[in-house]
Amino acid sequence: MTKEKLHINVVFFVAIALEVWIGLYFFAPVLTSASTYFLQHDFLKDSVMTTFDFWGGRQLQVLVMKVDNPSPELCHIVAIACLLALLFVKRTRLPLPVIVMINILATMLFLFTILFMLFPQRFHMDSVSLANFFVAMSLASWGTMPILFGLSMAIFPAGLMNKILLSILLQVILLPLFVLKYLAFLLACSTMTFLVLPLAVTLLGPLLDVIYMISLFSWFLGRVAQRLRRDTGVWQWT
Amino acid sequence: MLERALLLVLRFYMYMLMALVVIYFVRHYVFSYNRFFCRQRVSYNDIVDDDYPRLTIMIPMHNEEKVARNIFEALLKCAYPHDRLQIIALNDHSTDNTHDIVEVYVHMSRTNHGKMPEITALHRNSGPRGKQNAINEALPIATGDIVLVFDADYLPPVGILRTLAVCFKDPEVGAVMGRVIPVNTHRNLLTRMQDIERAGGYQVDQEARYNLGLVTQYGGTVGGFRRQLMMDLGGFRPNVVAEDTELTYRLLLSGWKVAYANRAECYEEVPETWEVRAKQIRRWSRGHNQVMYSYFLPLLKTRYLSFWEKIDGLLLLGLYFLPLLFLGGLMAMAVLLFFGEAIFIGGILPLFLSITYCSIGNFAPFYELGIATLLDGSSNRILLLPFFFYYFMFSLWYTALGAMDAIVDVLSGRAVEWEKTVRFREADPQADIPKSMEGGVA
Repeated sequence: MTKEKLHINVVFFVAIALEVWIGLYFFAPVLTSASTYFLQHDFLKDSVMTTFDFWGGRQLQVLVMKVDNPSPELCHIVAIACLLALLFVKRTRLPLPVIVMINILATMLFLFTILFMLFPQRFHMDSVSLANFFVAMSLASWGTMPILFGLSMAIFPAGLMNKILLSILLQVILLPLFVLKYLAFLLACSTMTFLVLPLAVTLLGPLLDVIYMISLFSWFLGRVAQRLRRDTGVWQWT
Repeated sequence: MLERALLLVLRFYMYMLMALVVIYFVRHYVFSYNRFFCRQRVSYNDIVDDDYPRLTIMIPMHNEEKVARNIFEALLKCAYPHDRLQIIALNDHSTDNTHDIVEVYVHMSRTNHGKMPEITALHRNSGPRGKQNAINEALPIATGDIVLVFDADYLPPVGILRTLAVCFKDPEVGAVMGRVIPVNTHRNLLTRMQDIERAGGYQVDQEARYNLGLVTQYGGTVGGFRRQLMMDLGGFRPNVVAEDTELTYRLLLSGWKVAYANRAECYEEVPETWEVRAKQIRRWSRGHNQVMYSYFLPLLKTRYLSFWEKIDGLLLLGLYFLPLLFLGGLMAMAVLLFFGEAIFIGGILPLFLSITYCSIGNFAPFYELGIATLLDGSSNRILLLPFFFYYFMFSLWYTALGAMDAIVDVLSGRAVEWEKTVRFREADPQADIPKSMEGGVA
């Protein structure tokens, strides 16, 4: 690929990014109301609907479920459990990367629990702001991922159409996952109080999005590499 | 009031951290762009010259009976005039069979004088242990103008000595670094991931820095330096874990350059278990951060480096500190979320996490790894990229622990103990019978 083609790639991906944001502006309200209807009808029958102020005066419909603050007893139990996990997980036979993940999650949860124990009256979040938080996070993911994905693909020798199609595919994947993740997020928080928030954000948030973005990217690169190998084979380059 | 001040500080911290990871993202993107689209700098090994400098090869060894024979055999097969080559085995407090293996080769060298390179042994049984101490002790007995260092688990290929030595034709070059490739890639998922990580680090990162005239790093092995220069500089610092990084910065601050020879490929054994890898990362991070504390300000003040070299040098120094800041960022986010900054966190979190992963993930972002595998001509191994997320979290944790170790080192002034990476190669049952003796010297 020449430098000129790269520049065309970058211009296209900036255009796609703009398109994504314009798409968000127009389609996010439609999408959220559809998913809200679907979730409330089939899964979250106890939930109520509220609106989230989007940019440019647009409003998104968001489902809200009652989420409780943790009791002091629960905080004590969770804090002790986190400490035990931090102290003893290393002695288990779990693979080290799993132990590291448990350590990171336990540290965050421990910190959150301690804050609940020390300043329970300072916790300002309620069910509505929790829903707003998740929507803000998902919209930011939706606006960020295609750009990063596009920039990452731009520097590889492949057809522009392939890259654009993959970029669209990523957004198509993001849509149903957004709904599923929200369902899981709401269910987790409503059954296990606000204490589960750091874990839910870590496990169901942008880190999950990064994984399937990179899965798609590696599949794309695998195809590029195979094509390059085939080309060199045809020309008998060694 | 106190709560508002705390939230303000944490928000400021998050903004600063975001700015920092964006800078790293741009840096790595420029490197990737450079490797595919920019003119590549002419390599020194294109120089045709028969005036070979006299070389001394040092092999630091501590309980290396599993691998000692392999490196001797590999070095004896290297294409370099025997009369200009000296090999010094630095047997550093070994308690296994290393001493005997070394002595077999020393004896062989004496009996085959003129037919094979001179092999000398430095058996260290007293004094502080450590690679840097052993090399310092061996410098006065070295006869070469250039000293090349290979760890005992490395397998140098035939042409590597010339490829590395020719870089010193440039009078500005004080040290040189070659490319490291894992030899045990096929063993498990971890070794495969390290192979891709190394490819990104050398094929893209180091080479792009070399192309752009930025800071290339001497890595302590598969590389070398001018002997007299090293003696003038006072040798390696004994209390530094990352003596290679420290030497890189000391050379840069003295007006010397470090060259990178991408074609000087050498094979090494990478850790095959997560525990060993964790220790290795933690040690590297500790050493690298020690160097950062010592050289951050001097690097800014030096007159020998250009503006961009200084910027790159600083970013390179900060690379192993960033994971600690990132973990701090995660905790800051939890606190901000608790105190009601949900929309701020919701908006910033995806950008922060994804850019962090794209900028410091596994020390080379995923697109850099992709380019490296393409340049190396592989296809299937790129499908392992999604697994790198877990590797990223793993590296992040141990790098952060290493950075904290370095902080404690500075605050307490505690002495640093040298640690050796565990070897996994099966011991050769015929280790005491050199192949060179069986089939003649190459």
